[in-house]
Amino acid sequence: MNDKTKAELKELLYGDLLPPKPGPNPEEAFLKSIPRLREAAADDSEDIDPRSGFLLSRIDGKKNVAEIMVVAGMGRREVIQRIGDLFSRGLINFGEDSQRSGAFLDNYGRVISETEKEEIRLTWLRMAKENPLDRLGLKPGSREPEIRQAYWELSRKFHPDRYAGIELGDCRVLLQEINSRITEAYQELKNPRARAGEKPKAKSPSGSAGEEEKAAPGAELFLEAQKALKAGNLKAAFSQAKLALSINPRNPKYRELFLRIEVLLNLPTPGAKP
Amino acid sequence: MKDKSAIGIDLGTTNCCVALAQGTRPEVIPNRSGSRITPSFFAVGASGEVLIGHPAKRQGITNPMNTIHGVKRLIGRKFSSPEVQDEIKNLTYQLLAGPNDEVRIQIGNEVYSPEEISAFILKEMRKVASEFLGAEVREAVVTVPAFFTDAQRQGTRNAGRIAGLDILRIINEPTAAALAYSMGRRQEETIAVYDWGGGTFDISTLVIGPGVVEVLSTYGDSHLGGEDIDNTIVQFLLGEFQDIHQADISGDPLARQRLKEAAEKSKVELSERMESKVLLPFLATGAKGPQHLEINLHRNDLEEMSAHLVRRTIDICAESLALANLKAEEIDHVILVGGQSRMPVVRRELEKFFGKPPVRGVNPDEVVALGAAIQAQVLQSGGEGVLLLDLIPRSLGIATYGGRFSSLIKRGSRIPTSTDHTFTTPNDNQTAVEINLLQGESAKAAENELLGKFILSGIDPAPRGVPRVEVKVAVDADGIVRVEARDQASGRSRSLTVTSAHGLSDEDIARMAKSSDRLALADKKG
Repeated sequence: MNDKTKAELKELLYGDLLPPKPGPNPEEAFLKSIPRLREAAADDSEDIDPRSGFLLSRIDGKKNVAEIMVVAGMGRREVIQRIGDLFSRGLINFGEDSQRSGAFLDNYGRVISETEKEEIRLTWLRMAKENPLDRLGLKPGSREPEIRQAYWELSRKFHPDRYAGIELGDCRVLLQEINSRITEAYQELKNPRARAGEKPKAKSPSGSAGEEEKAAPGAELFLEAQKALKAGNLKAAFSQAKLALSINPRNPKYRELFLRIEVLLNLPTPGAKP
Repeated sequence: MKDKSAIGIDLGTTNCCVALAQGTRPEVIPNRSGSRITPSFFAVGASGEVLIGHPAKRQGITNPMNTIHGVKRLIGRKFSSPEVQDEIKNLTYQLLAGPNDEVRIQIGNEVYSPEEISAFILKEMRKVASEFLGAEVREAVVTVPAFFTDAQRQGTRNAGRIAGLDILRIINEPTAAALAYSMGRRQEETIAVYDWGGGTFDISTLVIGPGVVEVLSTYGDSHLGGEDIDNTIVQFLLGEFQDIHQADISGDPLARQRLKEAAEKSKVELSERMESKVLLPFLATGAKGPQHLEINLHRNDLEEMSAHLVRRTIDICAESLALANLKAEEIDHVILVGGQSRMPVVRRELEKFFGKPPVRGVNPDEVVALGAAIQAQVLQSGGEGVLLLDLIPRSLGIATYGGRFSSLIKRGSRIPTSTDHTFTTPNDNQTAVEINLLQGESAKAAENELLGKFILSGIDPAPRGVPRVEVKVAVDADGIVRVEARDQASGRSRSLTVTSAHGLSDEDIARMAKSSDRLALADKKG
C-alpha cells in the first residue's frame, strides 16, 4: 500500500473530527516574536542537525518567526518545534518576550515519546474489537466495580485532557477515537439495555427527509473482502475492504478486517528496510 | 520561569468568586475591599462612571434603572422566551429585543448585550486576580450551571472572550464543587451535589475516587433560584402594602428595588433567626402623605411561601437519581452548594429525602470557584492531577422527516464523544438536505433548541431512499459541538462547529472587547 492510499484512508476514517481550538491564539504572539542568537551558542553546536543548523543561520535578530518560516522551506510545525529545541538548548532567546514565548514553546514543543505513540496506536487497534469487554480488557462476567476501574484506568491514560496543550501529531485523532470507543464500551456495559440490539439503529431519514435504512451499508463488499482474503488474494481483499470501510468507516468489523489485511500486506519482505 | 497562573471563576447570578490553584491547595482571592465574594452587579452612575461589584450594588437603590444584576438569567436566551418574559416583570432595568430576538439591555442611551455585562464582571474578577498575583492573568476556567443549554454556555464563553480571557474550559458548577470536595479524600465515594444558587438549580450525582471525578447524572432547572424566592417575598410584601394602604406600588422601580433588597436581607436573616423585621419607611407617597411598610416576617412564613420551590428541587433530585440508576441510600454524602442551600428547610428536606444530613464544612459560596481553579491548574500543566469525566446534560440530534427529532447523542453521554448515522432522502431526485442540529429531549423537533443549520446540496438525483448521507455529531472535551454531513456518492460534505447559537459573531466580540477596554479606561480616569 502506498502512502497516498494511507493518507486518503486516514482522511476517510477521521475526516476532521477535531474542531479548531477557539479563543485567542498564543501561537500568533509567538510567530511575531523575534529570535536572537545567544553568545554562548557555539559550545554544543556540533550536535545540531543540518535542518536546525539552517534555521539557526537564518536567525539574524531582525526576522520574526513567521518571516523565518517563509525562508525556511519546512513545514510550520517543524519550524516551531526546531526553534523550540534551539531555545530549550539555550542557543537562542527572544529578547523581552522570552518568558511568554518560552511558555508557549514549552507546551507546543512537548512532543511525546515514540513509546507513548506506539502505545496509543496499539490501544487504538484494540479498540476495533466489537465486544466492549475486550475493549476495556475485561473478562466475561465482570461486574460494576471492575468495569468502572477499567474505564478509569484507560481514561487516566488516554483522556485528551491528559495531553492538554501537547503536540501529538497524528496521534490526536487516534486518541479521540480511543476515547469514543472506551466511553461507548463503558456505557454499554453499565447499561445493558442500551446494548447492541437496542443501539439507536433505527436510522431515520435526514434533514427534511425520510425512509428507513435497509441492509447495513457496505455489507456486501465486506463479505467479498472476506472471501478474497480466504482465497489468498490480498490485493483484491484490500480494495474490497477499503471500499466497505469507505461506506461505513466506523464499523468495527470492517475496520478490523481492513487492518488485518493491511498488516498482512505490510509484512516485511526480506532485505527491505522498515 | 514561566507565567503559570490560571484562575477559576464562579460567575454567579448574584455573586462571583475567583480562586487560584498554585501548588497543592487552591485558595480564594479576596477583592480590593477584602471580600471573598463580589456581587454580580454592574452600574453606570449619575456622571457616567462605571461601577462593578459592591459599589454598584450599594448605589442600586438610588439608581435602579442603571443598575444591572441577575444577567446570568438572561444570557444565551431569546427575548421572546417565556423565561425572559417572566423575568421582565421583576426587573428594575429596561430590556429590549435585538434584531434576531436577542436580549438587549438599555442603560441610558447605550444598549448592551448580556454577554457584555457579564464580561465587565469577569474583567473585574480578572483584575482582582491580576492585582493579587502582581502579574496579568490571561487564562481561566469559568463555571456554568450543569443544566445550561449550549447557547447559554457559548454566551458565557463569549463573555470571557470579551473580557480578554482565554477560556481554557467551561465546566459545570456541581462538577467543580465535587472536584474541590474530592481533594485529599482517598476513598471511593458516591456523592450528590445539590447546587441552589441565585438563579439556577442543579443536582449532580458523581463518583469520586483516586485521581478521578466521574459524573453519573445531572439534572436541573436553569430558571429556579434564590431570586425566585426573593420575588415571592416581594409579591407578598406588595400584597401587604396594598392591604395596609390600598395602593399598588408594583410599577414603581424605586420601591421595587427597596422591596427586593429588603426581601433578600430578610431571607438571609431567617436562615439564622426565626424572625426578621421588614422596615421600609417612606416607601411611597399617598394622598395622606408618606406611606411606610413595617412587617415582622417569621421563618414559617418564608417556608410556606417558598414551599413549592423547595419541593421542585427535591423532585429534580429524584429525577437525577433515576437517571443515574441510583437509590437515595446509595449516596454516601450530600454536598450543599450555592447561597440558597443555606435555608434550614433545604437541609431538613434533603435529610428526609436522602436519609442522611448534608455534609458540613464545605463553604457553599467558595467551593465552585476552588474547583474551577483546580481544573485550570490541571489543564495548564498538560493534564497532571485530577481527571474530570463529565457528560452532556441534554441530547443532541437532528430534525428529520415530518418534524421529528432524531437524537444522535443521548443525554448523559460522556464527553468527548462522537457518533454517526446514515440518513437518506424521502423524495425522488432530491438533491439537497437541510441539517438542523438540535438540543433537547422532545420527540418534536420544533420543541428543542436549534443550535445551527446548513444545507448539503449536490446530491446526485436518485430514487428516494438511495442516497446515503452520513451525519456525524461530535462533542469534544471542551463541550464544543460539531456536526458534519457527507454525501457518500459525491463525497461532498459540509460541517458546522457551534460557537455561537445566536447573537455574537467573532467581529462582534472583537469590537466589544475593544469598547469594554475603553470603558475601563474611562473608569480609571473618572
